[in-house]
Amino acid sequence: MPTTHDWINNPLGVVEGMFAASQNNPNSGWEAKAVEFFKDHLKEKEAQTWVPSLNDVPLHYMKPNSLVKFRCLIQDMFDPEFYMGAYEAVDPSTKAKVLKCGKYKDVMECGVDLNSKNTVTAERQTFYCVPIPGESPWVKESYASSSQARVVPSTSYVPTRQKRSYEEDDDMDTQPQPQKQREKHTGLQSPTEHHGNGECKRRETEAPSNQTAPASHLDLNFPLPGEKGPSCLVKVYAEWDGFKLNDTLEVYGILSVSPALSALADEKDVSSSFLDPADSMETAEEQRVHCPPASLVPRLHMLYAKPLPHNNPLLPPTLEDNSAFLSSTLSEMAAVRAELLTYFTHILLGDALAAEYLILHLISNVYSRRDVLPLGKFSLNLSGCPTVSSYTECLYQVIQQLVPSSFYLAMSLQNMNQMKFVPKKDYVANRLVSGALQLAKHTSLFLDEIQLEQGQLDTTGVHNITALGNLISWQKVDYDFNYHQMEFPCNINVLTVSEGRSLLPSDCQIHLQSQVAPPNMEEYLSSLHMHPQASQLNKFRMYLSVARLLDYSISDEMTKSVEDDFVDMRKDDPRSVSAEDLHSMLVVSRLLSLSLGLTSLCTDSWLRAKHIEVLRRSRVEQQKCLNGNEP
Amino acid sequence: MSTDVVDDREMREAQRDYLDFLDDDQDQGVYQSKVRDMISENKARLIVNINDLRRRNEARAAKLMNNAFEELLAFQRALKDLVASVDGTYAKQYEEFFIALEGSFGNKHVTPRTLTSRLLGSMVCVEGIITKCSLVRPKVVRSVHYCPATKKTMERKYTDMTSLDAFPSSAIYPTKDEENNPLETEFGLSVYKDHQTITVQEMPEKAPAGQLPRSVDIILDNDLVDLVKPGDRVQVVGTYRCLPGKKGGFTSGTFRTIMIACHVKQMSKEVSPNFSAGDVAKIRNFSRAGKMDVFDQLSRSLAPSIHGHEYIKKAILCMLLGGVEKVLENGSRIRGDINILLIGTTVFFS
Repeated sequence: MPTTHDWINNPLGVVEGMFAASQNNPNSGWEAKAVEFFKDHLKEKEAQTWVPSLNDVPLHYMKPNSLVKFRCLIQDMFDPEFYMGAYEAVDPSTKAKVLKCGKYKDVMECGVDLNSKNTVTAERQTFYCVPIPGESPWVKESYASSSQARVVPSTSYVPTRQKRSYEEDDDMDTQPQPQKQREKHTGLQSPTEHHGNGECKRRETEAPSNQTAPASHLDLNFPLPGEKGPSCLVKVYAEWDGFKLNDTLEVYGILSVSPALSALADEKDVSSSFLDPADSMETAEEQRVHCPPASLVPRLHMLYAKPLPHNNPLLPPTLEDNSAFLSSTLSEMAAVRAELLTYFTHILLGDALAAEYLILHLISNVYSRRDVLPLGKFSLNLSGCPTVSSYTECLYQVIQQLVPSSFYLAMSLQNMNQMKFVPKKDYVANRLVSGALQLAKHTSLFLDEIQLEQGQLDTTGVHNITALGNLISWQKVDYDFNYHQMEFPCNINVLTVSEGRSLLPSDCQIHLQSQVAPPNMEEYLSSLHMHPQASQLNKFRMYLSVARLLDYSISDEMTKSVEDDFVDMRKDDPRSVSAEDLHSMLVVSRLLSLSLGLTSLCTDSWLRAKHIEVLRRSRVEQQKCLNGNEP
Repeated sequence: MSTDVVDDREMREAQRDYLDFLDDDQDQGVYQSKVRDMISENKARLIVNINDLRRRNEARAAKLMNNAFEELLAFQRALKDLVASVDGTYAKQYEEFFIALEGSFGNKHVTPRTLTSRLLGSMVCVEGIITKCSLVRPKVVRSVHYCPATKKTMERKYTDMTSLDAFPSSAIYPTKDEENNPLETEFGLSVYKDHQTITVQEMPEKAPAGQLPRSVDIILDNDLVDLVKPGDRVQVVGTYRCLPGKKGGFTSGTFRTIMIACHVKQMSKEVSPNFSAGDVAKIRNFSRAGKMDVFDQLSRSLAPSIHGHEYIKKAILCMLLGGVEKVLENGSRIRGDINILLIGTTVFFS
């Protein structure tokens, strides 16, 4: 009888047991049953926390072939591969032919009879998955602290305080990368405390990883520079068409880190390579990408994947099932909104209107697409920001503390000309080389235009600006496939901070009118950080995520009254009021209603939306008058 | 042993069927004349339309689709027999003759995404865009060695998984004979064939939204090399085959799959329209209808949902029709087509 946690430590045992049991009955559907078994066990939230996560625990702590989970983004999809679902092997001791299961494994045991008639060929698909780009530290800590996985490192790992010990233990192969990879893992400090290892107080010092960062990250193909974390080759056995590129998933699967995989990659006879057609098809680069050593990029045989509609650990996974939680939060939303408004007003130097617009921006979400038009997007251009260096960074840190994933992009000339924004397909290595715009949905992209200097943009720079423009206007990124481009839709909130009007398009521009002019910006900013405590911050975080996920509708009478109102507005001032104004007012009123926790439009929200739009526009007019010659 | 005998008999039967099909003197002589054309053009590949084979011998056509390797081999041998009967010396020039198939493939007409494992071993037609072309390399087919010690010449043939023969030969290139005397290779007498591998990716407009396009590797041999370049949209007909994984202490248990092409056809974007007889009759009637000016009528049919702008529509119609370039005696050219510049404001639709 397997013990309660046997299915976590030895999932292959469960699978093989089911396979053996099904041998007498060819139509037993053992594969579906195996998946159901794991799904059932993982239904309770508690069971999910028992499974160790590749995001928190370093790879060398994990037991091979155990059940692990990985919160990730699908960055690349490789071609499908055929493998032996069932194969016959000759048992060396009894010399009898035994049918073995090849599913969820990478390496077959010795003595395989390749010409047997009982071999079943099956297909599986490989995805290259990376950790969610721009994930905020509070999210990582929250997930890590809620994990109750007991992970005991292998006995070959000797706990000492010296850095030297790392090189003795792991049997890394001769790649120069592993050194840097290990240093990356030691960066995740806190998880060791949660692993119930009372006996050894290991103090893993964080090795200096700054100079090694560029080379190793290039190999792992992360979208954003400076990211830490493992990447994984996820092997999918069923329903792979349901997954799209850039989907965020939590994958539950069997970890495979067999060193034999690296041995297979190296074993190549020079003379035979010219005569064997299979070898001549794959270049060396492709080999390196598709079969990296397992210590660098582990394989994960997926049992079941949970799509993540949001990446906020403070909320339940799906809001629809949790009506009690939803109703309790909705009642508090107006109050939390008021607190958040005060907080933002302080940060934005006393400008309450800008604070309101910032809230609306943070809860915006592309909820639908009509032909080419994405509905619900609301990119904000905050102009008139103080040019004091630390202000924008401080503003970004505030946002980073509140949203689950974000990225700060300083639009300096060097960044624009040299950074990779748009993913490009590399046909030699047969993979998609990532770029900064390959982000998960609901990521907040913070563009700092104040860092823009004088100078010339070269071709890459121009392409990057065009890509940013496309992202803001159409919420899509055109991936470069050499002979053609493929567009991938995305759902990213873009906040542009600039001195005057931004050179990028935006849905809404608001000019900051600071009421407070602090003589010492540094002091003022540092005092702000003391303001919210952890519980307050958590309330804000939940509020922002819930508001983004709420459903919204407009009743028919409201539609009629809005129409009539718009017609009146046009009658009064036909020149300045256009169809676009109606669209933007509808978007603002939608966001305003959602920010108050209301799921349908009411007259108050509509009137308030009109009011703040008028205020905002009058500011923009004022600004135009001030800057005489500016277009 | 008995299976070998059965296979052999089936092969001979298949060969007879194919010879029957190709030697259609009594029927319409289509393929006979095609074979004669092939000989006169000094080529070694005959284009056969699978629809014709289906009409003559449906069972054989079905077997060709599903059990491509053996059937194609039989077909090629039949072709060689026919060529030998028509022109003996020409048949001796080429070691092998090839069959290129075209026509309707039914559910075997696929894209790299729909090329699934059930199609392994069958004849498929894949469409897509070429993304990678390797260099053209010569591959040895038959090597001739001379041993100066014993003054004997020996030959060796090489086949591998990309040829249609069922048994791949040993890959070792002999440098010594049985008595360990060194051998010299006679490069002039050895026979080589050209070899190229390409990758075909599914067409970007047909890929489902949100997914990366899939690709398949294809091997081109002999006269099919260098017909296409990266960026071309093509239709490739060939057999889909599975290559065994590497052997050794461990095996990963995964297989690579490739396609061995027998025919490559370029699909140009501008497809010339096929007019049926009914179409041509209707066009003639329309042009002869005396009541209205044809030019006027056509220009009004352009963009019918836009009212007015007749002059602009007439200009656009002239541009679409185009004209014939005229070269005058003094050498100056009058262009055949016109360019149009539209000036005005456009209204944004939100």
